[in-house]
Amino acid sequence: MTKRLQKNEHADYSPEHIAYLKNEKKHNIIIALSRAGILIFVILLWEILARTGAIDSFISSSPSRMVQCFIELVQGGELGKHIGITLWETIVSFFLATTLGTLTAIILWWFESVRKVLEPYIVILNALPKIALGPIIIIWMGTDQPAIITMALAISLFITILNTLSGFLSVEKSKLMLMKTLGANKWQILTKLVLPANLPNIIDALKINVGMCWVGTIMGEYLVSHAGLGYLIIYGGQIFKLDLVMTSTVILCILAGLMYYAVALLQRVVSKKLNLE
Amino acid sequence: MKTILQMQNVSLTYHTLKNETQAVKDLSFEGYEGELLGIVGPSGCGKTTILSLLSGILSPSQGEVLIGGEKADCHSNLTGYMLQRDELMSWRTILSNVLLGLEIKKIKTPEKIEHAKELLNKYNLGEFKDFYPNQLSGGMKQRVALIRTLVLEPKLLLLDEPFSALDFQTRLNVVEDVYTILKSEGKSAVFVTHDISEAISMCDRVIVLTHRPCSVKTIIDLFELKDYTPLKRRELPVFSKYFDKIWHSLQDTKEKENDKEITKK
Repeated sequence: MTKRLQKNEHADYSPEHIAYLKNEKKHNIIIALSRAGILIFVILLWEILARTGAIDSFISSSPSRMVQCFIELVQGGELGKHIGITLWETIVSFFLATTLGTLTAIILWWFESVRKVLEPYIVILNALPKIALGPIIIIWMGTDQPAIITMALAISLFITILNTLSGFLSVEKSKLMLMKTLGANKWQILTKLVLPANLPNIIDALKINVGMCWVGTIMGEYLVSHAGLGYLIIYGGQIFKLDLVMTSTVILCILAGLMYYAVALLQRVVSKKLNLE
Repeated sequence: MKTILQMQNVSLTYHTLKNETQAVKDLSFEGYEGELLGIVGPSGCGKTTILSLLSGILSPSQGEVLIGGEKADCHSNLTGYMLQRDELMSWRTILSNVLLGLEIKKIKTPEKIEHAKELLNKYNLGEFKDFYPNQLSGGMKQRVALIRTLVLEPKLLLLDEPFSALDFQTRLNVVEDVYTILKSEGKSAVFVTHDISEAISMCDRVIVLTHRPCSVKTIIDLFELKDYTPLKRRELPVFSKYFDKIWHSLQDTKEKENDKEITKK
């Protein structure tokens, strides 16, 4: 009975198994080296092609020019401000989309009639290309941060509602039956079954949201802003300063990646704590 | 013997957009205190519906369902329901799964928690109380599900094919375990199954149902097996006698049903 519960932590491995582990380790190292290798290769090739004049660094920039541009931005004291603004907009819209989306999903789960009435509207709003709302958003929200956050919210909110709601509605029928046989009321079904069972879904929705909010923020900054990474990119494009465009894009890549990994880390911690898998 | 459950001329009709179906028609039977009452019937005859009626999740269209003299009600503590699968919540530990019903009914007192721990200890699950369901075998999980039902101290247990999700080897052992637990706790239970030999190995009496809309076809008293546990019963010669009896009774209902369909065509 206890057999399946034991962990063989200090087992004596056979030579075969040791060889297997060694091989796996080697494989992982090769993967890591290849990943780094691609990056280094691209940077080097780019630099060499730019220096030898094979490509025009005026329109393609080059790694060294990007470093130069980065240093200038840092020395000018501008970079921190731009990164801060974009990060702030993204994080605010991310939190708003997640909380509003989850709350709306809870309301729609709770009231079946409301859900049936609103369903076509949500589906259509989700299908609409949000960028089309640009002019309306500018006129209603002005040309500042509220407009950008609204844009990011428009992009991420409806997809959050739909994903979370479909998770809520796909809770196993037999588990609902169990709650009914125990005499649970709707609030208890929500808090003791639907929400905990959907935590993995909600966290998955967070991962999608991170990406969506970055899209929304940058799109918003393209439309209206006076500052931020999106502003730097569009400004760099307008004055044909490709160094600025490329540098800002790379910074954006790094930030978006970091934020994604932060959510992934959260997911791992929560899953481990709640024994979800 | 004292009656614990009474079904009095119960009928139930389901309504859907497409049609209405009479699931139960003029059904009457009784169950006695401390008795394991089996219910077998052709598939789709409405066995689970009967349990829903007994638990009070469904109310009868006509007739009355009484548990210990009171009207069946899912918010009271009259009945405890055990489902086909264990339905343990993967994010709760074994102990906290066992306490789920107490939490929902808002009666999670220190004494009840202590009682839950005692039950876990008694049935060899004590050392696993802080484990999660996925760390336990199927048979152990089904025992946890039974204890989750028992801590509520219901007057009557309702078992809805609780072994059908287990493999055969495990099933024989879990049937033995559940039987022993129910008998040692002196519980009355209604046990629904489509497996004739399982019904014979566990129950004191078996009710055979007719095809939908279901009513009682016949009641078979397994008095010759009463003093034996499920595994012992399977070894006795009378076991197959009872098996034949129930099998033929079920065949009857099926053949009549087939005849009806043929004449319809």
